[in-house]
Amino acid sequence: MNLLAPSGGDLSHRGVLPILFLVLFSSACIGENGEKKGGERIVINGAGASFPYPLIAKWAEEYKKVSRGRVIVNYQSIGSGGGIRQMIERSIDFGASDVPMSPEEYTKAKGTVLHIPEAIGAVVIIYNLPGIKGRLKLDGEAISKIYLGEIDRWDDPLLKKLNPEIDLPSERIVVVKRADSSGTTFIFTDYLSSVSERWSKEIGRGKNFPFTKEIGDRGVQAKGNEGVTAAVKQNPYSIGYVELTYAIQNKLVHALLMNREENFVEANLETISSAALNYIEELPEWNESWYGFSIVNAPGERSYPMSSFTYILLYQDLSYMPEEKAKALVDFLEWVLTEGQKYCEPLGYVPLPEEVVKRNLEAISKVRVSEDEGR
Amino acid sequence: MRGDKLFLFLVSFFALLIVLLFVLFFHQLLCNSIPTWKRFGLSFVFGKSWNPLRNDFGALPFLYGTILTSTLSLLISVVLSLGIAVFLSEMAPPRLRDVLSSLIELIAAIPSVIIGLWGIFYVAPFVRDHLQYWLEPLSFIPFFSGRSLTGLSMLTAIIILTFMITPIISSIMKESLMMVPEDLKEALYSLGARRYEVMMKVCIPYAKVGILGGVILGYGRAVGETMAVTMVIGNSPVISASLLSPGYTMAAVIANEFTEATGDLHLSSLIAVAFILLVVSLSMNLIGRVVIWKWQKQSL
Repeated sequence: MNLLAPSGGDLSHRGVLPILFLVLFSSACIGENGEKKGGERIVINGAGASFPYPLIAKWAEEYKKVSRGRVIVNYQSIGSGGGIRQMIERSIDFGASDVPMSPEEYTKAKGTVLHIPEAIGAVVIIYNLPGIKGRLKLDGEAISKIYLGEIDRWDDPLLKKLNPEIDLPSERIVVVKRADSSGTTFIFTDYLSSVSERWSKEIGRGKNFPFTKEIGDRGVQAKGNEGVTAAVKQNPYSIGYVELTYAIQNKLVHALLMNREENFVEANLETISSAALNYIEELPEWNESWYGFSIVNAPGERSYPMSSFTYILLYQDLSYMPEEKAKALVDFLEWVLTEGQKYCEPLGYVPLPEEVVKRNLEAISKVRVSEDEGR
Repeated sequence: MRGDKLFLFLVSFFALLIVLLFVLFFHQLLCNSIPTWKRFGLSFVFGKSWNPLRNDFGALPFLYGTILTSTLSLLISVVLSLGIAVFLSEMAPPRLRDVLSSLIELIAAIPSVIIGLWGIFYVAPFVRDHLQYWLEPLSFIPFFSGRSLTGLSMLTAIIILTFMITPIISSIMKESLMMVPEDLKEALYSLGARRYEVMMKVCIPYAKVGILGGVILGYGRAVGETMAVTMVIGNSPVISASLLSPGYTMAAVIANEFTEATGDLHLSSLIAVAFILLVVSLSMNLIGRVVIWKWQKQSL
């Protein structure tokens, strides 16, 4: 052992130094090469809502191919609160949110913020009624009364009237809602506020809401779509709400909802785009605040009543970023709104109607990409 | 010499970083929660309602949930852990001790989200379908009154927390019990003492500092545990004496609402909750330290 140790030390002295040099040298070469490539490469950073994350990630992947590796889009689903804050601070290049910016947020912005709807999502009602085959039918009044606690049993006359063909059990309803703040809850409360006077007075619209006293111990709050789904699956005679994409992926049976024209509709591609189409006239102008705009409870015979746009947010004046990057961002968004829309459906999102795309492209054309570009 | 000075400077700089980090923690949490303290003052700590839609915030339900679940799970866990530690350090044959000790360490390493899933799919239904009926004879005690419709309750959270902190506490207790010198024990045995007498009179008093250290560490984990608790506690900001009703904890509400909190007051209230959480866990830690310090002084 004693003999071996010094010779081992010698070996390291002789052998390691040249190798170290070699490694340093070669890595320096790689570094140089990498930098050369990096000069051409443009990285666009976005962050925000988790709802559009799978879609934006898919777009980023496809757009990397389209741009031959030149444009890299990074999207982090940190939640729309964080996305909006970072977009306002300009620490990211675009934000994403399921809810338009509030006036409070708008006052902090350093200029006009564009809201670009990039896809449509919907919220569906899921339930657990053991032994019942038929599909549950609900209307806004019933959902609001269940979530306010006014209806506490499945065999309530109102529910029976909506579902004459189902033998509803005389069991207490376990009411499940999201515990975390979310765009899903916003769409849900937005819809209930527009159909129920008591809801809009006592609770209102928001990303989270408290249960009323009447719900008592029947209420469950669970984290995320997966938590709500687990709570509904685990508890017989429960009801909950999740995003449509999540319900499709997990093959959850969801209720038919009565729309404004008193037809029962299922949430699907056709009924959700119908809701968006029926609100085309009311879309805000590109430079206006979108606060308060929504497509819930839409008119139209086949319109699904609980759906919403999801938005990409960016400054109209992008001259604060390098011109190349601003141009790349605009190109990316144009691609997303045209070519990119074909990736919506396979992932469970509803593509935008043509009219909305047209409005969007107009808004994007107003983006200022460089200092010297006069407007 | 110069090398020594440089070294001294370097290590003391690293040590100072800890102090700096600590001060910055407080500073950041306090500064960012100013709007809440200005609006509600101290009544924020005792406010019972939490409604982001009305900009009405109070932290009491979360404070209550955190303290109740962590304290009760700690009480159960200390009893369990002491038993495990005594068995492993004094009575188990060496081979069994090795197997059990590494098993305990394995349990301690399970990610909390997995324990949470086990909670949702197994413990909660178990509480709903069996445990609460077994507890029915005790329903005259407010703790066990009422009925859980779903099994998602503070009781479930306590079970999960106990499961999570017992491995940590018991392995630290075992280590400190094993440090008790053999001659002390043998002296008592030679006087004809029984095993439990040796345990109570020598081992535990000798190892009490280490044992309390384990308890403090376990409490820290129970207070701060987020994921597993939020998955099983039902997340309702209500204050109920019954363990069978749902509750909410400070760590859980921060995790649930922080990402989507867009209102200024909402955000600052969540940070204020974080501040309270920090104060609670620090003061518990401090109490433990003071007790240890006193014991050490006594033994001198």
